[in-house]
Amino acid sequence: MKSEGHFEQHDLIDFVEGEVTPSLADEIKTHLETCETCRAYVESLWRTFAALEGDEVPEPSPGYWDYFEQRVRERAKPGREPAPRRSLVFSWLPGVAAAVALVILFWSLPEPRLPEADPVDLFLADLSTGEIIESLSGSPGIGLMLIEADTNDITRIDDYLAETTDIYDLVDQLTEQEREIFISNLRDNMKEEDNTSGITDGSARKG
Amino acid sequence: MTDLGQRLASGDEDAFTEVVKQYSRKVYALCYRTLRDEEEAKDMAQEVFVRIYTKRGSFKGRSSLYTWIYRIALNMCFTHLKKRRVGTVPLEDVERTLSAPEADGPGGRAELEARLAAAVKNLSPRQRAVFSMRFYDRMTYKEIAEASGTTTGAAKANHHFAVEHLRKILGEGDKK
Repeated sequence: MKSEGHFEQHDLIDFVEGEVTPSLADEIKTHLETCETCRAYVESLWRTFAALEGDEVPEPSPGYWDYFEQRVRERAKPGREPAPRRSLVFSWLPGVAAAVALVILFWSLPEPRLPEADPVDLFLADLSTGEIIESLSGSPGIGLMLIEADTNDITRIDDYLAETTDIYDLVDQLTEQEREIFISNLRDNMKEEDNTSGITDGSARKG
Repeated sequence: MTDLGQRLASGDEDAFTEVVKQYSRKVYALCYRTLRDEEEAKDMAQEVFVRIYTKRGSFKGRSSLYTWIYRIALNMCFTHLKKRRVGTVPLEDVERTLSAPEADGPGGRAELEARLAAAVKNLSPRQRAVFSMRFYDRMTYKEIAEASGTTTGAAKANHHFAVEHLRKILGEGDKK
């Protein structure tokens, strides 16, 4: 797609990567014959890719691979694995049905704070509405969310991720907009909870 | 589910050996390109396979074995980076590196390596990982999305962002 007489950068990147349709490739080739700007951009992409081809991964010493599997098996023996972190809370995870996205909150959000008398580190909330779910047991969900108050980093897993990882292995995926909406909803619900009974369900929280 | 994946999930020890053979170098490379540290990448690759071994029974074949393994590797790398709170190198550091004279002179191997390292480190870990999967492993955006737990659109956007960023640093020299 052209903008102001030039192809968009993403089209040119796709072109250099061979990811455009034959007809678009022909169109771009024809355009490059006369457009110095797009040609310069494509040439700079080629230079970049050529440079990156030289970005080699250092080869470990031969011994590293010779005993790699042996070391892995040794490490994987029962009792050698690092202690699961807070895994008890998530032991039900693999069986969770796909229905509601859940959120797990570590530490309190910056504002409003959770009740001081009950320094909640962990609870669940509905991802789509921010509604707090008080009990972990039996909660249906397709995934879990984690939010860290100091950074507002939100981590999401889908149900298929749940089959392989514990919560600490997850990374943030929300867009800024999704994050804002979610935090806003969550805060509203927390205010509501604070005004009524508060957020209390010790059984669902990290000690 | 592939035969190898099925065998792995059923606890077949030979299948695990085969998985190590097929994927250990790829996983190490992915870890290195995400962490940008050889020693950490070696340790991480080993831990990834420990995780694969201990979690192999949970592989259900919803994704390919390849992307399942990559997903474990990426999650572990990102978690590791999050703990050490090191993600990107500030742009001013990149500029300092790019302007620093190298022992073998301008245009030399050392200079190129320094430029590459600085440029790549300036990407976020996720962008580095996505770029690595796309550029070096030739994975499709769908596969990348599966491996990194995101959408194909987000995977493509991350890749294009990385390419454009790298182009600005690496592609501006030697213009004809």
